[in-house]
Amino acid sequence: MKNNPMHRRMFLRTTGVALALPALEAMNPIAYAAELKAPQRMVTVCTTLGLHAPNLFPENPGADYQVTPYLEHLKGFRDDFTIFSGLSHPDQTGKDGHSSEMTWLTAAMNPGLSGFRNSISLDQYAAEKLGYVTRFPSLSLSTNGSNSQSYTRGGVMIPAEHSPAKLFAKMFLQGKPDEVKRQRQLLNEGRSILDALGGQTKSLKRKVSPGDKQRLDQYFESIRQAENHFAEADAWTQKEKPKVDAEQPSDIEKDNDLIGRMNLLMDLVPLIVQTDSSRVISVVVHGRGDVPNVEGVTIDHHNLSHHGQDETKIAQLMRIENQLFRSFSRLIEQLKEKKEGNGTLLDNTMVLFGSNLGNANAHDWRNLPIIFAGGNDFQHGQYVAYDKENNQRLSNLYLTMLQKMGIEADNFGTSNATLTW
Amino acid sequence: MKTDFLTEVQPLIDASCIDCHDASTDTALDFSNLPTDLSDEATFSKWVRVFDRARNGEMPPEDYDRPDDDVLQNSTQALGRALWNYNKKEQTKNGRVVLRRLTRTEYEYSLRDALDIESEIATLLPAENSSGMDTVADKQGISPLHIQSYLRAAEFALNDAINMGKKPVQKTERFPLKEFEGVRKHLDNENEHPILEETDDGVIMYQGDASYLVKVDKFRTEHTGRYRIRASARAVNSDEAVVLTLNAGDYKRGFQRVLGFWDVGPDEFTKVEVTTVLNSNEYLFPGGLDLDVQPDGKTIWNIGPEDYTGSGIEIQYVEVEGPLVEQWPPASAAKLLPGVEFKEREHLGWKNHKHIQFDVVPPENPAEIIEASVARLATLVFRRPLKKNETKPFVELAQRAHEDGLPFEEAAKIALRSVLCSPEFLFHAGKPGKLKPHALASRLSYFFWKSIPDQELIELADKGKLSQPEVLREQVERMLKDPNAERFRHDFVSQWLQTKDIDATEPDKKLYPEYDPILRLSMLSESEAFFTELLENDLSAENIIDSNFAMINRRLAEHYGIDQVQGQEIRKVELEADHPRGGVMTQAAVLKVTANGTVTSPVRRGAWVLTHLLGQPPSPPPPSIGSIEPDTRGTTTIREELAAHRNEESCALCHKEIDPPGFALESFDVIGGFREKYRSAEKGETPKAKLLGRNIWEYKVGLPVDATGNTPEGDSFDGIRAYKKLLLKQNDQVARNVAEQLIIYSTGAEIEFADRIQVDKIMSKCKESNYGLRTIIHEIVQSPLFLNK
Repeated sequence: MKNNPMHRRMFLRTTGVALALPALEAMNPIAYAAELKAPQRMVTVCTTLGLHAPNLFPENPGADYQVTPYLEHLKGFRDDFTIFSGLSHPDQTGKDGHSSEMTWLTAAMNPGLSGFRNSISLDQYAAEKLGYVTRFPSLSLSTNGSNSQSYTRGGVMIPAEHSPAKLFAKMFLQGKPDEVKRQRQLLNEGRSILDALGGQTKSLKRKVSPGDKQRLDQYFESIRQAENHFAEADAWTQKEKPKVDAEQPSDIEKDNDLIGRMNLLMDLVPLIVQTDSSRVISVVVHGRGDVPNVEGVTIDHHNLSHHGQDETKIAQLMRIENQLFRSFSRLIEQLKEKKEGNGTLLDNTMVLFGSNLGNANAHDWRNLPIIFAGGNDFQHGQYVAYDKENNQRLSNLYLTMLQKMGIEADNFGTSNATLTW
Repeated sequence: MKTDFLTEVQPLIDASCIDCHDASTDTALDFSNLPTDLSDEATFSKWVRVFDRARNGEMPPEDYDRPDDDVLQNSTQALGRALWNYNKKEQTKNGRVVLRRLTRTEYEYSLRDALDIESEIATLLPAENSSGMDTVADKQGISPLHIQSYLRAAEFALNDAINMGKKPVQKTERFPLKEFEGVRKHLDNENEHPILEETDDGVIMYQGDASYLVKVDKFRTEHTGRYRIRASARAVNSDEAVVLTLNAGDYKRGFQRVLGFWDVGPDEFTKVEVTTVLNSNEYLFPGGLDLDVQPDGKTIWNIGPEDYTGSGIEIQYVEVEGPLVEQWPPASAAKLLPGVEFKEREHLGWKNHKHIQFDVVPPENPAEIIEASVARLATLVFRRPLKKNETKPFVELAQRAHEDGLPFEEAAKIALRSVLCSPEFLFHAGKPGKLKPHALASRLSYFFWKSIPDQELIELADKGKLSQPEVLREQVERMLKDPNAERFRHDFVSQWLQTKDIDATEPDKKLYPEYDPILRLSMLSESEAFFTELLENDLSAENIIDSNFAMINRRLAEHYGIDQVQGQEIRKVELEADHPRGGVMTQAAVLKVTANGTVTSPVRRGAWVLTHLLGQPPSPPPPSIGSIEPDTRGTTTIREELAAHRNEESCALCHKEIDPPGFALESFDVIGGFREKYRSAEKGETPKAKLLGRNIWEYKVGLPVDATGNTPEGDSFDGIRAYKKLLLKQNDQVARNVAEQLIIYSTGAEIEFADRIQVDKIMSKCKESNYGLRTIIHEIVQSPLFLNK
């Protein structure tokens, strides 16, 4: 927000990423290598306690929709995003009302119920296909704690980075030479250890049950992937990290400073994208059971999301969600103001913002609030309303995003088509 | 597998089910489209549910015609047989438990025991699946992330064990409070409003947070290690005891924790002591709680120490002894690298960021030492005798690295690291059927100690004696008496009762100003102590429903409205006959984890009772029906909303089971206090109770609580006491559930269809002792469920 004095901008020392591109091109396996075209990236941002629908969705679909209180914050970027209603993943009834948090990016059904195992998440799927074209194939960030929405193929959650300071250091601060040396030594040791473990796994397999064997194969495969990771990571440690003209942010200690924490992440994402440190970023904004430090809010966030139609609670909830939208809009703003190639960074970055709950008051996982911004060549500037009773599949949008990144995929999650609008 | 059970079940479906459960159903069950391939997990569990519902008479619902007895009998029998056969076949092929992995808790304890270290390791590994017990193999994942984390955790642990850093100086230092820098500055600054008071003996703290002033400024932990911390304090301006706390904090990690808390009375100074592990870089500070303000409500901030009559705590000193080390480099280093000598450097040197003070004297026989070192560690953590040449690949790793120029100890660490990432350590694997002796030793030790077996267990396994019933019995007794059994009690209780989620929500500070770290710790201790009490004395599982005693300290006694409990140590207290406490569900920790910090929900608490006490988790709402849209406007209460809900047929069936225990528990607030009226932020009367000697302004008391209800069997109750009496009729089920939870926890697999008959056997053997908890554990260990893979 232009009038927000708190807004600490972070500019890159190098204006535009064009300088970095020739180097990238050489190791980039995707098809754009021939022309000097910037890659498409994917950023997802999920707020876990829903977004109050009456404040968000316009009355009438189409390009001439009336701006709603929440969309007011994105007014300046009207042509850069699409707002969707009527999207969801099928059959998300789970262990409790918030289980769909685990499956927002995976679309696995009945989260947490007996027999449930999560499937691969959108970001991990993309990262797996892209490989190590960037220093970090993917980044999972959170405002609080290590819970992420990123899951491996085997359904294991990838811990989220929740310290912007650490993340900044990892990406932009050069290590001391002996630290780098030590790091490389460890990577090499890791590789030789894993090599030996592979052999042991084979011999262990001979003396166990068929079921054990199958699972040992997973372990073996994990070792192989970890080895590969070490090799790639080692190659990257030999390359200098990008320099940015931004200071390492300080972490916010207060747990309940939700907005401050979200802002730090929203300010980091453009740096990650612009330096091409990663092309796949997922952010989870954890709604919590405490009172966020937003002016005029006295009741805890989770409780407010169960407002029970109480006007005072809805008013407080709106105060929080307004701040969430402001924070999100500052991400869009920063992506938009940075030039890349013939366009802006936003043109090359698909940003998905929304929630895993359509109506948190009733723990309803249908009719999710979804805002889809940026990316190359989408029919933005519209409100697209799908059937409320018979929802369009969110996985179809995911599939569309994957294909836009140049990833060859026929389906993802519960998709049955791509989405065009 | 093709199954033909459907032909035999069809008559029942046609007669009693298909009317509702057809293609147009609102429920999750549609018989017109229900697969019969039992090898599909979801299909299998659906048919199990059908079996249970039909056999227990829960379906068809009451108002429908009962099925013909013969039809019911034949169909359920055929279905049961098909399910049993399929399940049994799978178990014969793979065993009940398929490749169980060490949990991160188990990984930490195993490393601690094998390496003789005390550091935190679990948090370096990926979080475990949070639904159900974390030991359950089917839910445990393995990923590249795990592999990387194991490598990192093992490196961290080994560096801790072979610590060549600066030799810690063990010393005892006494820090008088009046010499604390913060205290001095505060007292000596005339411009500052004084809230502390200097006396001949020490310094008095009054109500109000002065923790920022009383940091022990001359002490900062240099080495993670064990320390003995002492303090001396007494109550001032008070006839009764006040609470002294000793706390540690860490600026970098931004958190503080309570190391211990004690009642200290007036008159004589009370001397307290706690021995604990402090992490490097932690600082210490004492604190006072339970300090009343003046009778007129004025605080130290209004009055100043001279004329203030509110109670305070006079603290003389804080004393620190430690780190408690017997030798350096630590004993763990000498054990890990047998026969190696360490040499102290004469100078620490300039470029020595890690402050290395010792070096390993390069041994003459590096290969032999590495071999011995690997063999020792591998034997410990693989939990069995090594096979011929088994150490070879590990040793070769080290040798190669050593030849490439890596110093001896660094090379040795590579071999040891790989042992700690080996599948032989990380997994419990084996052929189906009876567990091999050493696998049995592991199953026992990971049950009661969450760690590797000790020498005695291994020797019994070596001799093949471990599976003898009498030997097993003795070992279980021995293991339960071992101090390490605390790990089991803590880990099991926190997962079974979900008290591990105690911090999932923070109680609203306005509505619950009395919630503090001491209450939090006390409530956790209570639940654990209660389980321990049942275990130690083989008390009946019916105590889980209701008991005539509680395990409490003074803090909880005051919270529960019980008089005459002095001191902060947890002890057994007899309850008066009509007291609402007793049993598990009225324990504060349970009441807290089933609430959200602001309000309680009968549905959530009811579902908790069904799931965690009765082992009969309610089904989720059917897919096409959303949950109720809560509406708290106007005059509707949560009960009226639920009543509307229960009038809908598809909701009523489950909610008549879920709601009653939740209603009975409405008498308890979000931190487990008893209430007759709801607290409210705005509307209501000013409470009559006092908090720390002053009036309460933070909240009001509003609408009355209605804790009455009817059980699904039609019995009515007027509150928690009556409800518990009714629940006692289900003693068998509660006992069975705790047994099942223990089986799941200790073996690492859910109770499957084919296991039920074994659980029946266990329960019938325990019935005589009216399901004594220790008896249950013995019978579990003796049962085929435990003795087989």
